[in-house]
Amino acid sequence: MLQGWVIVLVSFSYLGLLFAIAHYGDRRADAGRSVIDNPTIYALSLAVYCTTWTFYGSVGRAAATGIGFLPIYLGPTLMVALWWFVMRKIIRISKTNRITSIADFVASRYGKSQLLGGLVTIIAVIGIIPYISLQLKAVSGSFSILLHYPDIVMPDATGAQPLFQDTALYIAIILAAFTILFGTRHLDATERHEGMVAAIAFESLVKLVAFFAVGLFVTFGIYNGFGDIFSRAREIPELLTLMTVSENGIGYGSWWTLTLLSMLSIMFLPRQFQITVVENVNEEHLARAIWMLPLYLFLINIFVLPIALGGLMHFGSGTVDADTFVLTLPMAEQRQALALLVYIGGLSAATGMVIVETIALSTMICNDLVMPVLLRQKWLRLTESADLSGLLLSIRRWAIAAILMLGYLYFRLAGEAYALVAIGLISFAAVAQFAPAIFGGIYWKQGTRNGAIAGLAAGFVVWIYTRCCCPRSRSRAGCPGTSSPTACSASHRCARSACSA
Amino acid sequence: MDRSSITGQRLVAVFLLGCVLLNYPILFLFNKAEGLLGIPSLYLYLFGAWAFLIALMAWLIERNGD
Repeated sequence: MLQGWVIVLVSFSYLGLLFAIAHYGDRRADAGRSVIDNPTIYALSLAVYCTTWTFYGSVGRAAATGIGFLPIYLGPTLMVALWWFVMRKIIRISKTNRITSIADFVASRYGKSQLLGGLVTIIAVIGIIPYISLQLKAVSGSFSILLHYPDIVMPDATGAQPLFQDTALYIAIILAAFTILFGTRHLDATERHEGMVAAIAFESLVKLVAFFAVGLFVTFGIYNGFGDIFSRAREIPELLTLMTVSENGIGYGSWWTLTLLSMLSIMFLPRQFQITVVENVNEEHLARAIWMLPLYLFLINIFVLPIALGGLMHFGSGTVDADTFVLTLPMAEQRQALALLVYIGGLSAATGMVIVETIALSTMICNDLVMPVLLRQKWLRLTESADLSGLLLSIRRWAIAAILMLGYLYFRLAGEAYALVAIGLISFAAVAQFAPAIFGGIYWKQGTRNGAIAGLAAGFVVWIYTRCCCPRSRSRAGCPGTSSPTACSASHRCARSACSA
Repeated sequence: MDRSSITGQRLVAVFLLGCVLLNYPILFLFNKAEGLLGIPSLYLYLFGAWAFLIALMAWLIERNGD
């Protein structure tokens, strides 16, 4: 059943279905009967926060650090409680000022500073590249594993692929083409994409159902419930440490750091800002999202530790990458349909993230980086021409293609050897730099443009330093000059490979 | 409007409560591998506290909407 052509056919059918939903959503919007004018759909679309990091990576993280995967979801739960005031204010400001992206928002809070907008754009693009590469890694990994069914072969074991036989390259190209079709069909002055939001809400359902299905299967199909899995795992000394917070696994220090990073990421990742603020139809929808988004995160996390422990007991340590347990456990039990469902769930997690993130980034690149520069070139006479929409659309299309190719490049150079969550945390640390400038911009009347630029630039320099240049020997003691030990150690692992590559 | 502001303030209280419940030192009290029905107490506690916070937010918000 799981031949290569079946997997490819199912993948394209799924993408086609998404496209159909988006098309329907756009048509309804044009007819004035919006499908996304609904608080539940709004809450579901916010779950674009859950990417393949959540879908595959959490189990890998749980297999290494036990409960240490959880702060990434507890942080947002805490943060959304403050949204009643904070996010409502951001949405109101954005609607009044016709804000189109997070870069635009920061710039407008400090006197429409183009320099600030450009800086935020650059930080966002460079910061998000690892996150995109993580999606490519997860999808190409799951595809290659599924292809080898009934054998369970890790992608690393098949050796480095030559460029034109590398699945990740084709996935990057297909996703770029798909996002361009999806997000840049027409130009909307408010930068809203109703059809896309409808498709993203659907994707959130797909990934939740797929993860829940595999969770139920492992917990109640392979084992006899939660108690059974934990009791068996408790008899194995190495697994016992996964059930507590300890210095071997995750300490209280990194617990709090991860919570804080995720609190900021749920607001300031470009795709979260896009969905929460720019695509918001009615600010009243926010109320229900405040409790529904945490509920979604809760549901998608219940089975993470059982799957991780189940996988570790089933495969032993070291043979199968824990980041793939979600897929390899059903495969090991010969559940082909379930394995295919899981693969589609992973695909939905990846496509949702890539679509919204690259659309948000391409809007920023176009409006806050390229256009301000082009408009200053007097010889182009752009200010005189009446219709710039063709130019704007082509800038965005090229930007989307470039972002995905950079993501692929990162995957080739640095991504292959590292766990999914370690890659994603680098991006979380990058967007956390926006927090002081944004909170200051909302609540601090005397904050100045120069202060915001200095803060962002300094944070970005530290981020680059801890990511690329921080000597390895210091990693145990923590990097000087950064407040974030987790981001630091996560970056180290990547930095090593980036240097050796 | 007034009602809405009170809901917001109550949600801030939920945030503060959550910061305490989901962190050291409360977490430390449940940091044992043993637990109820075979499920480790840390896991049980974290998911229990999390569900409680969500339920509290849902109750505060949906009550406001009536």
